[in-house]
Amino acid sequence: MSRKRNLLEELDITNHTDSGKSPLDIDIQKIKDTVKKSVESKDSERKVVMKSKLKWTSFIAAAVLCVCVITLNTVPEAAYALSDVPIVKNIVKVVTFGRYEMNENGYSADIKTPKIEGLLDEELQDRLNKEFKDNADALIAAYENDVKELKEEFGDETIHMGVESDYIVRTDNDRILSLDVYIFNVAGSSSTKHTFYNIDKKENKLLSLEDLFKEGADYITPVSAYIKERMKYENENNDGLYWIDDEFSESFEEIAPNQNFYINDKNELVICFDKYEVAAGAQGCPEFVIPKDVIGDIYKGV
Amino acid sequence: MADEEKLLIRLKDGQINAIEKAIEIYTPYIATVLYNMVGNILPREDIEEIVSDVFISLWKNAEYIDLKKGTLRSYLAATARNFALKRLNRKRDYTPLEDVNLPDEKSSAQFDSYGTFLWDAVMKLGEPDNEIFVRYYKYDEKLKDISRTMGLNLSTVKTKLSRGKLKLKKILSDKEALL
Repeated sequence: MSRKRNLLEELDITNHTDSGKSPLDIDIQKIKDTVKKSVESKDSERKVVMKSKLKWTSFIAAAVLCVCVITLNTVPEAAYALSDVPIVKNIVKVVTFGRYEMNENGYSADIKTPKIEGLLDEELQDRLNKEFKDNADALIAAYENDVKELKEEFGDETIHMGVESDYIVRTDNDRILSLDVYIFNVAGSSSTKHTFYNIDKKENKLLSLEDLFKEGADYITPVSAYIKERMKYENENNDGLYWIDDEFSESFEEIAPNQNFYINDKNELVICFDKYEVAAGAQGCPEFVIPKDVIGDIYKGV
Repeated sequence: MADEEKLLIRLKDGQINAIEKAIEIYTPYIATVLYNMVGNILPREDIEEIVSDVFISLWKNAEYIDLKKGTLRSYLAATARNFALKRLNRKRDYTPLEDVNLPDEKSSAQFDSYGTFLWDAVMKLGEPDNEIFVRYYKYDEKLKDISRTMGLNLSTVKTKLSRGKLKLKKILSDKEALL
């Protein structure tokens, strides 16, 4: 090991050398190799966790892709006219359509499937409901497959692995229905994946983040800048755990063009992140209300 | 929030690069603790194995570590001491007693160079000065990194290094005079 600094020389002791082979001279790379080999080997207790986590991650990635293929709906003329009639305004509702439960020897699942009723655009409604059902079915199939594989590998050993999926109505007013469908995974530690559906009841359409802004406007830059500022503030003043200017983790740079969001009752944009997306797990799923003055010129809202 | 907490959260999450980071940050500290305890009894190879065991144990037990009960550093030091004791006991089990060098019987000539002299003297500086010297001279760490990792002011680190060197000169010249 060659060193830049030599304590003996600095002490003006020149008739001796430090062999660099004392028990203080631990080869860090060697330790890393040994530890990695051990923790990645089959008998490591963390193996189960890593394995099931990986699988869920790939499944969720597939689910996210599914969400992305939904195209925005153009509103039929007739439906648009009808929506102005007061009586139909509030009949849009969300109900639990199906529920799958299982609890056995450390494995647990509780998957609820939402269903939207009362949308004037039945085509959009059917498509969303089909997506909810397909996602739930895929989640159940993936879960059952994981349980089967883990049982084959670990027999009757108790493995803590679970999945929960449910939905929360974030906003339901005359104009907006914001539905948050989440998947909560437990495999050693936990992770949560949210998918938001924002439906404009008046226009009868599923809103994308882009739809809230004037056409072609750059909303990513001002929204990201505001969020970064908030993260820094929270880290410095309120025990925030955001990964920003942090040598240990990748720092948050900017939101995705289709970042998760919902619209609150005040018609404000709320940007949402999944667990571990921009902060330590203990921070949960962070949300940021974007003040209108930050995006004033370009924000249309609904 | 402290770097230590962030690191532990990532360990709990099972991120493999977190354990690598922990190894980079804490190896010099654990090496210092072990050198003080068994540096003159166990060969470097044994000490390297203990260091590896400490981090494997950290990975497996991260879930149960509660920083309200103590720092990650103190947890690692305690784990290192336990592993070292186990290793010593095992060695004593099949080594004739007279072949075992107990800490108070240590001879400075046991290692192959004057380095032992020097680093035994560094250990006499006590904590946290000895760790600063180990990090700076053995692991070539930057002063800025040492101050961050150890939670000390940069100026404190600099002062401790320069005062430590003066003390070392004195300790070593006294020792030379004895020989």
